[in-house]
Amino acid sequence: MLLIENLTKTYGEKKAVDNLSIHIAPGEIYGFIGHNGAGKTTTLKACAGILQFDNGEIFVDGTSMKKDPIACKKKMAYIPDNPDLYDFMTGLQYLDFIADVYGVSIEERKERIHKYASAFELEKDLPALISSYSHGMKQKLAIISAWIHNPKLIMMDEPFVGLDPKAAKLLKDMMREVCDNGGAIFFSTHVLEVAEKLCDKVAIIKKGELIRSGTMEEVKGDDSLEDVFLELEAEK
Amino acid sequence: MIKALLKKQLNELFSMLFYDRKRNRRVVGGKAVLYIVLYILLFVMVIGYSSLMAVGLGFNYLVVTSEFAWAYYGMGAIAAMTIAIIGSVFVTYNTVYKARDNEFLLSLPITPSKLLFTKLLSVWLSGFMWESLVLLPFLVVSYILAPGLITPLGIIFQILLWLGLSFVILFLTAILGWLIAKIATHMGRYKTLIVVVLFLAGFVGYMVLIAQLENGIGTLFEDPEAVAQGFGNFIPALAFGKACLGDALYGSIFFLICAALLALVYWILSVTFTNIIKSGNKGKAIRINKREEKQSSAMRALIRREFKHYLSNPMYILNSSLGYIFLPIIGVLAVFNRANIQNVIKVLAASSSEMPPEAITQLISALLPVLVFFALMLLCGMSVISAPSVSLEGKKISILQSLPISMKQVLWSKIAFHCIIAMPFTLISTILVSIGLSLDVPNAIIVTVLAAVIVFFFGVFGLACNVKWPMLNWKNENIALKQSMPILFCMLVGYISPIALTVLYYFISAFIPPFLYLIVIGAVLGLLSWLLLRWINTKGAEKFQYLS
Repeated sequence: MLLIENLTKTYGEKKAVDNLSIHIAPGEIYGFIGHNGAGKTTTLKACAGILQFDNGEIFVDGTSMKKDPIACKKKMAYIPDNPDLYDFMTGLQYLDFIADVYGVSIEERKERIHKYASAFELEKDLPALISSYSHGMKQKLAIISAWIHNPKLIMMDEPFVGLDPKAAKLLKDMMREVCDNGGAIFFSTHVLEVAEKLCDKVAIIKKGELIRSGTMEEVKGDDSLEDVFLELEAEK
Repeated sequence: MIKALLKKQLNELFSMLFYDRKRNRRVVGGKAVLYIVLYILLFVMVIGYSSLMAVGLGFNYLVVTSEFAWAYYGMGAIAAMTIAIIGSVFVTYNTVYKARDNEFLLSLPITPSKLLFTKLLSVWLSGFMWESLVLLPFLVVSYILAPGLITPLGIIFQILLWLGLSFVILFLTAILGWLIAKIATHMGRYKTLIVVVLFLAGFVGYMVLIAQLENGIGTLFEDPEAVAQGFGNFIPALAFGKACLGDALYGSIFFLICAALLALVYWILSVTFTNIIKSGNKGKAIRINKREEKQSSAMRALIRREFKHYLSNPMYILNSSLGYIFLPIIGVLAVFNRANIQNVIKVLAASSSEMPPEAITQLISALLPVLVFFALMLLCGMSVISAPSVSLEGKKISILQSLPISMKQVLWSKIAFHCIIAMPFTLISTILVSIGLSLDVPNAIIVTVLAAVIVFFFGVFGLACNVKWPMLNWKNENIALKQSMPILFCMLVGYISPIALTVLYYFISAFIPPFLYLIVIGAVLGLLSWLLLRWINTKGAEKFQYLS
């Protein structure tokens, strides 16, 4: 579903991502972990088509991000680390805007908005301006907007930040549902317990380089993910 | 602590002059000087009318009727205060009452009074700059034309009251800003509309005042004593004027009152500041009675998004479309004054001894479309909705970048939105002005077509400038609106191009008739628009895709 091949991105002298290769197959929840500034957001932004990269290739369901970014974007959704949405719109107007851009029919969008907004207990707040939303409400709205066009691939940068336990559980269920239907999830997180329980595969990145990846068992063995991660971080 | 806060406030106020957001570093040397010169040039152009008035009035009062010189200074104070209040009332609103960083700063170990002090200082500075731009020409004119009236005590009080007047301006802008904030907080969905209406009311009031002053200038020359005595009834103006001439009693009282007003405004705000911020930040839910049950194309959705953004911010409306609000008014006035305009043309035609009246009438009629074209360039250059539209995306630009739409489409939606707002106002105004000036049909058609070309040109030009010089790292949207290089650039082009085209026409008028000249200029504008559009479609769209 998502193939990252030899991705390299530099900012001036600094290599933010160095020759990174990851393959995410349909049905997989893929966790992406690393310390602050390791290159997680840079990788996710490059995959979302909002950041130019120097070398490498990114394919979404077989389509090259370099050659046909719009076709790639139609198949996926991206939720950034900070849900900075349009304050001048209401929640409903924002969802309608996203649905219009993706060409979601009225029936489908109504059904999905109702389904997810009621699950997140956001339905009554949808007619209010986004500027009046809390961080968690904005995050919920960003999640609904990502799910509104039923994408094959969903990429999320720290999606659990700001969510209450009930909403976090719901999001995990939604992620699993996408994968059960043949989609894939690629997300970054600092919450290693969540990654350990939720992910089928995981990649650990350090200073822009992939230092370990594979199935959860392959990566952590008998230890906890936290122990493995801290051990790898301590290595030079 | 205060120093750090002050630095932050001043950085915010002057960030455009000293910080290159594109390269993310400070601007130093020649570029900073260039920015400052451009800013001053723009301000001088905006308030040039006041300065000219100062020269005219100075001549009348200081040379012809020197015993009423105090009224001259009094008038200068009123003019400076009016301009400064209009110029800085929204700075007060956005800096003190509506700043995004208010809550964050209050969460830091800073006392509200210190925070308020630094915020008020930056507001005071803004008012002081506006005041100085008007008052200083008045003072300079008096030094040049009537040096005999200047006394050492007078100079001391002029300096003191120059400062003191800025305290009065701060007091009045704080009250007006507070009123706007109160209204904005309680009016929910009508907030934008009310702020726009309030601003327009203030602007119209200012224009009425200017018009009355214009009438008054005539009276000044005919019966200056009567006018001066009238001014004498307005005690603050009398006191300010007398103090400027060295009257210690008036000067001391006036300055003490100014200082008292400063203390009063600081005291009131320091008592209420925290409450104002807390009440001002409550988001009001807006209920939608009827949801649009219709699927839109991506382009329509993008244009609708631009529209919602535009309507959400009164500063966006006022900064980028004030000219369009007044264009139809100019048109209606032209139609109602049609007979008067014809009379003026007849009088002009009869006044020349070198050419027969019919030839002059014909010449004026031929030149009128050129004048209309120049006026349109000026007004449309001042009102370019697309010029801040990229900067206004701010950090949310990644939403658009991550969607499956071409960036060319996004940029086109911005041009389309500019045209949707600007085109009807401009075309209606042009048609009305054509009727008012009794233009013949071919000239009326070419002027109307040119109006459309100008609107399109500025839409494309403003957008291209903003893609080239975006400012996305703002804390307050109004910084992107007020300190945006593309807006300044469009205004400068709007100001300079009519002058350049007039000079050009002066040299080639013997070889090319006005009608043909307009066609050529229209074609050039069309060509420039096409070239800019090509850039937007290719390199501009590519740049927009990865802006951050």
